[in-house]
Amino acid sequence: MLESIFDLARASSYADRIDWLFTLITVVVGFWLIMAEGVLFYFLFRFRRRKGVKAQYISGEEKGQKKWINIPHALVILCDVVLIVGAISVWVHIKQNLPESDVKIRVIGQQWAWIFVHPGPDGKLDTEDDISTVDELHVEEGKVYHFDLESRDVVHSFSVPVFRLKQDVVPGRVITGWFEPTKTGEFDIQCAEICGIGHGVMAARLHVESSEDHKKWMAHHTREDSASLATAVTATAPSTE
Amino acid sequence: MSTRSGLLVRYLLVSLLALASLSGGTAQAQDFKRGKKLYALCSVCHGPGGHGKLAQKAPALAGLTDWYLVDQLQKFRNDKRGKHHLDVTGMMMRPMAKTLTSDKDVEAVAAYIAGLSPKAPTVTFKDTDPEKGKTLYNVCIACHGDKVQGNEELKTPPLRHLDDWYQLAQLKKFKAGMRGADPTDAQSAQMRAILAAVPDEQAMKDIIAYQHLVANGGAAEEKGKP
Repeated sequence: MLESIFDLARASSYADRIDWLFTLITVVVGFWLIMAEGVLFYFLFRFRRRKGVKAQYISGEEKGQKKWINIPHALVILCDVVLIVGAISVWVHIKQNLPESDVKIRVIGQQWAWIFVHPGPDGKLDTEDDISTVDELHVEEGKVYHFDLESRDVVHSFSVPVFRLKQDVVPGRVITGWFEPTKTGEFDIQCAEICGIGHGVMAARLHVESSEDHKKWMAHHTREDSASLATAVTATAPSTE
Repeated sequence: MSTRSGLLVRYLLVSLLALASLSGGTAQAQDFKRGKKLYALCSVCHGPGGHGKLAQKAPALAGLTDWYLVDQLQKFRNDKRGKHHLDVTGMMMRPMAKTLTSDKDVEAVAAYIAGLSPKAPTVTFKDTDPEKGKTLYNVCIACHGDKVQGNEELKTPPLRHLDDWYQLAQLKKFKAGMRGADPTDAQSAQMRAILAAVPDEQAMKDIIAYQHLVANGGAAEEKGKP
């Protein structure tokens, strides 16, 4: 429904499950909304004011009257059970389950930017070849990523609509999650928790790349980092003269 | 007849000139109004008078020139400043600068800020040695001037109204490569190279103390001192 009506691409392995749940909730709740409003308007018309007919007080205790409460009540409870089972199954798959990772990244939120720490060619975080970027996340299609979410200041929410991923970022905590990109392209990342005056402009870009393009990006950044480090060292070295 | 037509031409010319000056004045007033309106967002951190807020690590802007403000705002907007992953305050400013959607808005807000009245810079450092700072300032003087007034040709800012904590933070950022790392930002690259001659944090503090003495004749406010 999200993909077809709102033209919102699905770019993660679990996006279809979220969409399925979204559709299930919309259909079930939408059905009951239409039914309830239909009955309400039917009764308004059926029992409209008529000459010579006095209004009655109905206690709702008679069997014929009670069914208007009891039958929908039971059906709504049944629908609730369906929704809860559906929601829990999706929750367990995305939030409780942590599949084996291919790559681990770190995502840091601060007012009003996202910092992404990618492992370098050695594939490990917290080593010298890490690539840190601001407002740019580069990932490879078909790889399972684990992410550690951290905040430098206040509560943020890491939201990637095409992944159907949204996770609060809480200061003082490291929250781990996962995703598996399934579609190459450039997509939005946003903050989904009011985090100060710049919240509305706390946006970043997600680049899902093929294996080849990702390697090229990594090679380019590794060279760039080395060059910039060399410049920094030259520029900040104390004079020996 | 010829005198009459001459008078008519003169009358028309004077009227046109008056109209032109009036419309110029109106445009200026509109720019000022626009700048003031845009500055409302900046004032949350930089203060309504542009005097900065230490608690939010937002520097004083009053006292900076419009050309320098335009230059820096454009650097933020074009990802040349505030894009380093360790530059926490720069990363706060960069998205805010991007809320200015046109060059005209950048110019309007810069012109408004340039018109704000500056205050004397806040002094929070103790144990500084302006005499040592004087010697060290010799490497800065060519660009920032003997009166710390800046130089439009070289795009170097006037530093006389900037608080010491902010100046130190920026010097450290230049030194660490958090500011001026963009290869297309020539002025900042120069600044980073010059800082090679400033050995440590104490030297930076001494330079700042000397600048304040020069700029304010030794009358810098002593706020923040216990």
